[in-house]
Formats: sequence, C-alpha cells, structure tokens
Amino acid sequence: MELSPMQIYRGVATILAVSIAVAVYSGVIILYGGDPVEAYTKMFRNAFLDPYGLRETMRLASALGIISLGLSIVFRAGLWNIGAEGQYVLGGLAAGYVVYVLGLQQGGPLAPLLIGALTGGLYAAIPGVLRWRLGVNEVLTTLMLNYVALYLLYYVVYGVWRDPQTGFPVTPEIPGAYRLPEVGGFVGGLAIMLLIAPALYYLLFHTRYGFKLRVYGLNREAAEYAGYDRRAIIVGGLFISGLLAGLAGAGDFLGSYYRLMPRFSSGLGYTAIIVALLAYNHPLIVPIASILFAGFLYGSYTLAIVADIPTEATYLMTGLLLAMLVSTQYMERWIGWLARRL
Amino acid sequence: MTSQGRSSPLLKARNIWVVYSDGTVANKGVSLTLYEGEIHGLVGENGAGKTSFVHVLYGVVRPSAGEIYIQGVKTRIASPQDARRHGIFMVPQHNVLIPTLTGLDNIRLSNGAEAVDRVYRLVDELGIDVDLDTPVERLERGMVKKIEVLRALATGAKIVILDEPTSVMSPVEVEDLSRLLKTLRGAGYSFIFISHRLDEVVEICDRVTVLRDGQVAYSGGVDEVEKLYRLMFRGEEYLEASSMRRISPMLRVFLGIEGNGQEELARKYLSGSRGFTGYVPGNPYSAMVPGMSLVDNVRFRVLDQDIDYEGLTLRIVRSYEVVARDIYTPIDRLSGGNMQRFIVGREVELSEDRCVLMYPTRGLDMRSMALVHRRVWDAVERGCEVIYFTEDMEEALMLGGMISVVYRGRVSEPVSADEADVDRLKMLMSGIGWS
Ligand SMILES: Nc1ncnc2c1ncn2[C@@H]1O[C@H](COP(=O)(O)OP(=O)(O)O)[C@@H](O)[C@H]1O
Ligand SMILES: [Mg+2]
Repeated sequence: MELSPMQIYRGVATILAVSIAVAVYSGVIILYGGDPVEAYTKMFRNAFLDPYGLRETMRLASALGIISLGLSIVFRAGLWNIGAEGQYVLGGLAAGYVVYVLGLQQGGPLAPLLIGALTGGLYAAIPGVLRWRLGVNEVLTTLMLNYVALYLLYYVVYGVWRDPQTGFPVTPEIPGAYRLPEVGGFVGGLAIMLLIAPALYYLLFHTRYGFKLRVYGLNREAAEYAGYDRRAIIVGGLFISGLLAGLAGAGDFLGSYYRLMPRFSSGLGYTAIIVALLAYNHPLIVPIASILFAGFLYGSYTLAIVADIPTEATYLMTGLLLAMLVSTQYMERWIGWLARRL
Repeated sequence: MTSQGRSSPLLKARNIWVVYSDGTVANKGVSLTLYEGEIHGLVGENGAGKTSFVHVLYGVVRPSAGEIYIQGVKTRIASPQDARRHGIFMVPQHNVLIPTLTGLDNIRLSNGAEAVDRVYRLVDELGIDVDLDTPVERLERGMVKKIEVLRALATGAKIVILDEPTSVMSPVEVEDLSRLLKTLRGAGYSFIFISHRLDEVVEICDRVTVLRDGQVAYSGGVDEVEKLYRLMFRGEEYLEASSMRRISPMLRVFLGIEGNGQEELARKYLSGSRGFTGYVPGNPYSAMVPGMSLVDNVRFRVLDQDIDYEGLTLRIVRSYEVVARDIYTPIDRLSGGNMQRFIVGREVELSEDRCVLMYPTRGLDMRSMALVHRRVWDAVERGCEVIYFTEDMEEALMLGGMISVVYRGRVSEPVSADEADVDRLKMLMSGIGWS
C-alpha cells in the first residue's frame, strides 16, 4: 500500500522523537561517567534475560498495554484522554470497594475486575459528556479528574481502608480467592492484554463504529458532513478508553499488588500515552510497544540501583518523549493543511 | 497603443527552461518580450507553466537554462530582492496583505513611510479610485488587488506581474482592475497579466503569449478569442460542446460571488429530498478524509448502505479521469485537481434525486471543467435535479440550464442559458438592476 504524506510524516516524526530521547538519555549516562552501550546492554539483560526481571517487565507491560489499547481508540478519534491515570486509580478503588466493603465472594476476581473497569469507563465518560454537550476541552477535564481520583485514593489508604494491623498507609492484602491467577508464569493481566488487542483491532478496522471513530479523528468536519452521531463517538470513545484504564487498575490491584497504597498511582496512565503514540495508536502494535517500553522502564530502574544512573533520567526521557510525540500529533493537522497548499 | 516598434525592450526572457527537482519540466524554452507601457497577457490551462515562468522572472525559481535581459543587459535574478532591485514586482495569486490592517498600514509596514508618499502621489496624479483606509479584510477582492498593485509600484517597481488576479472577481471588479491597469500603462508602467479567461485578456492586454505544455504556442497581438482558445487547448472538444447550450429545468445554476447567501440557499435544497442528496460543500476538504484510501473516502459517505464500494470507486475514478495509482491510494496523495474531481464525482454519482454542487470546478482547468459539465448533464438526464453554484459567468453560460443570479441574499428570476442577456447578468452580479 502506498503511504500518504501524513503517514510518512508520522513515521519520520516518531523516529526523530525516539532518537532525540535516546540521545538525551545517553547524554545523562555519559554525564554520570557511564558507557551508554554498556548501559543499554545491561538494561536489556536485566529486563528480558533475567527471569525475575522478565516477570517484572511483563507485569509492567500488561498494565501499560491495557491502558494504551484504550487510549489508541480515543486517540484515533482525535480526542485527548489525559486522564487514564485517574481512571486506572478509580478502577483499582472500585475493585477495592467490591473486596473491602461489599465483600462479594462469588466469581472470585471477576466481579471486582468488571466493576473496576466499568467505573473507569464511567469516570472517563464524564469529560465525554461535557465535551459532547458543552464543548468543554477534554484535555483539561480528564487531566483535572486525575487529581480527584488521586485524593480519593489517599483518603481511603490513609483513612477508612488503612490496614489496622500494621498502621502503614496501605490497605490489607486481599484474600487469595480474589486474586487474579497467573497465566503461563506471568501476571494474568498479560493474557488479558493479549486477548483484548485483537478485539480492539477488529473494532477499529472492521466495524462501522471503528470506521466512524477514525473518520472523526482524521477530519471532524467530514464526519459531521457525513452525518455521524457525535455522541457515540465522543462519549463512546472516552468510555472505552476509561473502561480499559479501569480494567488495568483493577487488574493490578487483584493480580500484582493485592492491596492499595499511595504509590498505586505511579504515572502509568501518562506513560501509556507515550506507548500508544509510539505504536501509532494501532492495537496490534501496542502490545509490542508496551513490552519494549516496560523493558526500558524496568531496565532503567535497575540501572539506578546498580550503576547510580538516577531514575530522574528516566522521567526526563519519558517526559521529553511525551512532549515530542504529543506535539507532533498536534502538528499533524498543520501538515495535512500544508500538504494541500503545496 | 502598441510598442513593438521600440528598439530595446524593457524585459526579455529567452529560451527559459524550468525543471523541478522531481523531474517535472514546467517550461520548455519559453521566450517572452515585454515593452515599456505594455500589458502583456500570459494565458494557458492549469499546469501550462505560467506561474513557473514568472517565478523565474521574480527570482523564486532558478531556471535550468535561458537568459533574462533587462533593458538589453543580460541579468541574473537570484532572489525576489534581486528582482525588486531591477524594478520587477510580483503580486501572487493569494492575498498577502495583513487582513486586519488598512491598505495604508500594510504599505507603511512593509515598505516604509516613503512608499506611502509615493502611493499618495500616484493616487493624486492619476486620479485612482482606491480605499486605503479600511481594513483589508472588509474590502472586496477587486479592491484588495488594486491595493496590491499600488504597493508594488510604491516599492519602485516598473514591471508588475499579476498571477491570476481575476480568478475570484466579479465582472465589475474585473473591469475596475482593468481600468487601473490601463491608467498605469499610460503612466509608463508595464504588466504581465496571467489569466485563463480569454475574454478579459482580449479586453485588457496589448499583446499575449499563450503557453501550452510549457511551450509558447503563440506570442503576438491580441486576436479573436476563438483562435486563442484553439491555441490554448489541445482539442476543440469543449468549444463545440459549449456551443450547444443545453437547457433543462432540472439544472438550476446560481451565479454569484461566494458569500452572497449561497450557504442558506444550499441548505434549503439539502433538506426535503427523498433520496440521497449529493453535496459538494464550498470547501471540498471538509468532504474528504485525509489518510484514508479512495475507497474509504467513498465508504465514509454512505457507510450504512449496502453498496459495492470498490466498484463505485473504480467507476468514479474512470469517468472523472482521476489520476491515481489505484483505488487504495490515500486521497491526500492526489493532486488538488484530482482530489476535487473525485469528490465531485462521488457526490454526483451517489445522488439519487438531487445533487447540490458548490463551486465544483473552482480551481479546475477548462478540460476538467468541461468533464464535470458533461457528468452533470448525465445526472440530469437520468432524472437527478442538479443545483449548481458558480462564481463564473462564462462557466454558467457554458454549462447551460436555468440561471439565477445571487446577490446579497437575493435570487433573481431564473432565465434559460440560451436566452440569458450577458450584460444583464453582469449587472445583477454587481448589484445593479435589482428592483
Ligand atoms: N515546486 C514544484 N515542484 C514540482 N513540480 C511543480 C512545482 N510547481 C509546479 N510544478 C508543476 O509544473 C507544472 C507547471 O505548473 P505551473 O507553473 O504552476 O502552471 P500554471 O501556473 O500555468 O498553472 C505543473 O505540472 C505543476 O504540477
Ligand atoms: Mg499558476
């Protein structure tokens, strides 16, 4: 298939953004007296060849991947859900509610998982409705709702759900019956991600709804011209992305942490934006991108421990990457406009 | 007044070749001679190489071969600054003035206070009718062009190149610009006037150069229009077709400059039709999805219907002569003209009982225009009502059908194209003769 100017632009922009980010990260390594090649080799070994490291990488990748899959759907519709972090946290909280408050035992992890997902979806639908009815910019609303979710988390971990036995700001470990089983030696979330990816691919590329989402993202005016229902696209798109972020949150709670703590919100929801954009918002590329990116994250954490490269360098790199990828996406509209002028 | 007799021409371009980096040969040995006090028409179809040629004169494009002589001296023009130093100025096709500023402020800003004095002197001496004190965005397009011409002269230009200045003007505005150019010609200024409308070239220019496929097909005095037509186009197909002037009450043509109430009129026709109503909006880019293939650009329009999208796309591509590698090519890979013909084709072919086309041939060359007209008539013949908006009177007459003029929200009584009185249409378009 022939590439359109937009696709060529996208490819070049991504390669450029990644190169710059890698260069900056390498610069930091050199600044700390390290050898970048050696550091990257070490990172790779720690993240993928070491059995414990691989498990950790996959744990990270599954949460990252599930959130990114949802984001890839709304991003395709040209809507910016910056609130996956909050939806993830709320998913965990809702699952916690089922376990700690309702104590719903039937079905084991299934009920908290589904309710967590649904809560995340509804939480994301709020900015969707505001956008659809009142035209409120979803970037602001989704971002702000992150704080609401975060303080709710603090409220329960420092307060009502705090483990009375230890007194630390963490909730009690959940009983074994609620725990999401491992699949193939990895967290259950990984299997969930691998199942969802093709389903979303199908939704996006082989259903009318997915087609409409994409049209809306590529040219809103054209979607309106063709008479598409804005509500289904805006509210529906945000709901789906929130659903998956919530699922990831519930999944981490039930499948890897088994409790809630202040650090339950660790910025995954923001990192997932990078993964989605790196994967061109393509559901079949997202799993690969999330595994690679999780490998980088975990690898760089180990580097901080063994080679004294500060984790701040990781945040610097991810922040830089995020800024560059988001701005290239924004510029895409200009590129399309430019291409028509030439 | 002709000036051929003079010994040394003001500007002479000899054997200019323009080859772009992608291998396109836009000029194949173009020569042109411009005398002092002359308005020289440069005509040709879209893509004939007119803009490329004047870009060479203005130092925007470097020619691969050829020479330029200014008052007999061989000169290299390396940049627009260079060109301006030699007294050459170009007014590009699209407005370059700052819309929120007045004409005067625009001139002051870009050319300094001295230039303002010069403009005032010109306006006074020649009695030019121009509004320099209204923000440019609130002026008619003809007035904006006049200001741009004056701005060119304020920089000290002796030669002004106008690239398709009239493409979006009403007939009265064209006459107005023509008056200005003739006045300035009398004061010794020279012009290269690019257009693809032959009637106005005959009316305005002293001499004309016809470009066809990057070569000079004719250069000399202004002859009858018919002859220039034949020189300009490869075939004569269109002249014959237009002389037939078909009439049908099913083809409603609304003639008028955009922004005179066409939107409301179109909206009225878009509602209240039983079958699928095709619609090409004034901005065709709002009717396509960049990044999607041609097939998907048909699919998105009629998503919930059971249609052989591939077959339909193929049919549109064939019958509208859309140049594309295949129907899976992303639509933004097509050139502007092909994109537009594709969108127009899609809407016309999908239409069941009505089709609303807003300026569907804007920016298309004569050949493509003729093609669209044929397809419109095909649609009319299969029983589809076509509502056709155009800004171009010549086009309205060529197309045929029942013509109404639209002006400031008013619509004139329809007249059939074969009985239309050209002068009356012109007047109505300019706001004269409305009861
Ligand atoms: N910058 C460019 N690069 C490549 N091809 C070009 C460029 N500009 C124009 N062309 C091509 O050169 C030919 C002549 O174009 P142009 O001079 O703009 O014609 P005109 O002004 O008569 O419509 C066309 O085929 C056009 O596509
Ligand atoms: Mg041109």
